[in-house]
Amino acid sequence: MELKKGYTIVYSSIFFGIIVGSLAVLAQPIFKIHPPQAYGICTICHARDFLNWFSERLFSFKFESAEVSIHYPLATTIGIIIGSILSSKLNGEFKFIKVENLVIKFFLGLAVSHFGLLIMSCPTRLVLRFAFGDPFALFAIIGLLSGITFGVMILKRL
Amino acid sequence: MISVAGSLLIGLIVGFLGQRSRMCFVGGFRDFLMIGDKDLLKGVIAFFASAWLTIWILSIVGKLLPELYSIINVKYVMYPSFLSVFLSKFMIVSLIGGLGLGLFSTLAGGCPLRQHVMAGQGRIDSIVYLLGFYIGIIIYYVSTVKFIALII
Repeated sequence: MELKKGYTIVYSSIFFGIIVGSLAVLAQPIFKIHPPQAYGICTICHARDFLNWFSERLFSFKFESAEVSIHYPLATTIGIIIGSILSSKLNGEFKFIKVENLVIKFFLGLAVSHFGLLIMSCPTRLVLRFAFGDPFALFAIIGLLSGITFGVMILKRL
Repeated sequence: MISVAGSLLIGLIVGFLGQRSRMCFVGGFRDFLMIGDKDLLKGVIAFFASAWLTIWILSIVGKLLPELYSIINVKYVMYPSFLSVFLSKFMIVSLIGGLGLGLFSTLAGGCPLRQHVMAGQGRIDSIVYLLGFYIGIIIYYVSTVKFIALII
């Protein structure tokens, strides 16, 4: 599933879907990430657990955490950033690119984390929960698709 | 301890493959609506199909070898049925949450997974997005959760 494009090697997105989809489910029996179900991969939930682990020990301010990361935190988000740095350095695509609208991006990050914590999942985990058969994930995906439609309508008018 | 090592390994693989394949879960539907490009949508459907197939295979293996059932069975929570939750409070919260997630992720340029990958590539706007993302978690638990408990 490797396609050579010039001098870089690009993987197809179907290859990503097959590998990450099965790995996210196999993480439950193999790596024991299991008291919350369907918890193999999620950016917002693991980030919240990671911050909660540090904040409880440094500032004794404890908010919510899943059962699996009470003793040791889950390091998924750090792994994603490190894996991406590694891959882009090997590719030659690592470059600091500066764009305008930085203040808008900051507030968009704020808003996405609020809505994600409201339903306790990010868009990746929604598809995983839907594969596990959660009925609330179906309603959240319907909301996600309509939200994307509104976003595309706004972007086309700009 | 094995959960830390396992989650770090999964994160490394996801970050590596995600940078090479430009994969985004919100971008799948967004590209299909804006340009008609079905490439990322196939990735989302492959993720769903692969997860569903793995759950099915593991449940069959769990039934064939009953002594390993407690380890291999991944689907142990019985969800409520579809019609019994149809107009409950959490359903409306899910709809609103999904709406906000989809709208603001499209305006930002990608789902949170894609923003983590782009921050690893060196884009400054994704690094600022991630700062807002992590600070937003703390702001949510300091003040917003009490505000929402008054409404719901």
